[in-house]
Amino acid sequence: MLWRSDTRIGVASLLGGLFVVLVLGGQWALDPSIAAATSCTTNPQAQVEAQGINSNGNGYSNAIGEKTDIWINPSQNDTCPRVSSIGVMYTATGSVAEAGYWEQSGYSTTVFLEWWTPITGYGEKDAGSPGSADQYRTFRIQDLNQDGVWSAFIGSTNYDSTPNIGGSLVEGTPLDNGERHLSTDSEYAQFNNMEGYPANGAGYTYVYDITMYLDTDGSSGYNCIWESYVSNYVKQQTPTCSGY
Amino acid sequence: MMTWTRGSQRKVAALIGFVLAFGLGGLLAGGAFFGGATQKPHTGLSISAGPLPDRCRNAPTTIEAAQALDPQVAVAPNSDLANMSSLSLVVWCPYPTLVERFQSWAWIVIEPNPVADPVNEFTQVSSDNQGVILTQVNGSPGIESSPDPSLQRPGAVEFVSGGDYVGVYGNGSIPLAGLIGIADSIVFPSTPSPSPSAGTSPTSDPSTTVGVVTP
Repeated sequence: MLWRSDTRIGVASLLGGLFVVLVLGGQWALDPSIAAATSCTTNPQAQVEAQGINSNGNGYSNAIGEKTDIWINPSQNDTCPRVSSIGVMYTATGSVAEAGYWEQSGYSTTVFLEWWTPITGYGEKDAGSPGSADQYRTFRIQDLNQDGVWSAFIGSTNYDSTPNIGGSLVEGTPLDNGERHLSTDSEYAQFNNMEGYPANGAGYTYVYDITMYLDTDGSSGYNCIWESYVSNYVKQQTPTCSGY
Repeated sequence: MMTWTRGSQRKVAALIGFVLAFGLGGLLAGGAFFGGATQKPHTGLSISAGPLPDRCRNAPTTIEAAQALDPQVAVAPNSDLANMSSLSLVVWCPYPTLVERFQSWAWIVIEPNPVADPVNEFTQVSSDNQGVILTQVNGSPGIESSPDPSLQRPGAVEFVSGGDYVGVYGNGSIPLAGLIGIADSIVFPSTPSPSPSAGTSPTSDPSTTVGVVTP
């Protein structure tokens, strides 16, 4: 039976579609890096956090905003997501508003805003690229009028805001955070010019110093490295942040 | 009523082909490039949420010492899930915010109320967040939410009473009814502390008298 030309076009399209499916499906099945990626964990396998402290040696507990430069470094060849971020945490509940970027597999970086309180649970919004690599970008997370809505900025751009997440996060401790989701990946992160905005304060001011806040990386090598009273790294080096 | 012609059959076949080529193909390509890990991870700042003593940066105290320091804040519930004899942790986080954790893994956070208009605040939070419901605890305004693993929500009741802002939280397995029972059982002293205290910046920490460890 001879096929009409319009029928041939339809069948050819079907075969073409099947070809694409088979080729890409085969690639997906055979690429070992893809199989390895499935071991990425939803929750971080390790994280290193530092906090800004006051001149009395205590951590801030009344920051209504944090502003810090984060180094955009997407060249770590990670298999799983790697995160560099800042945030204000109410330590009594763990409630937090967080801004930063996450990296996927070494070539894609995405700005995000994230929050968690026990009453609202977890929420997250992605917001595009942080810009080209190998530069500092200034991130800011704040709720200056303490209305429960935390706004995230990169540079001067307010890229997103939380819903009203309520009274369990009115103020808190300014933190920076480096984390990885696979134990063989990098956890590298770099922060500079940490500033806090104290409640009833006149504006953003440099923190008095930076100390270790949390380290779940065990002995695998990534640590909080004190660089100056307003800057620190998360990298493979003997830890130098106080608080260990 | 639409009738099927050969022309429309051709179009349907072509459409299926394009869907296969650019739809399924695209999905598999995405899977190939991103390895199924494209989902945004839950990041570290939030994942350790909860009343971890190392986040409070203070040494634990006792309920008796806390009540001696601030009887307005250091209140305790009296329910099966949480009572004075089942306390497993009391810590200022920092003063004047008190965390109490119980053997049931229920935990309470109490502080001088920082919210100027609780009814309005709770109404907005309820409106903005799915699953957060307006409630009352012994006639006081509040909000509640059930445990929800997909949102990492442990179950919670928050309310304002006696000049305090009180949060009663679970661990994901305690039903909301149990948390409400804990909230209902809290008895406040008759004299409320000053309220609201939003924006106050404590210049001293009296809890240092009960064993505060600073970083």
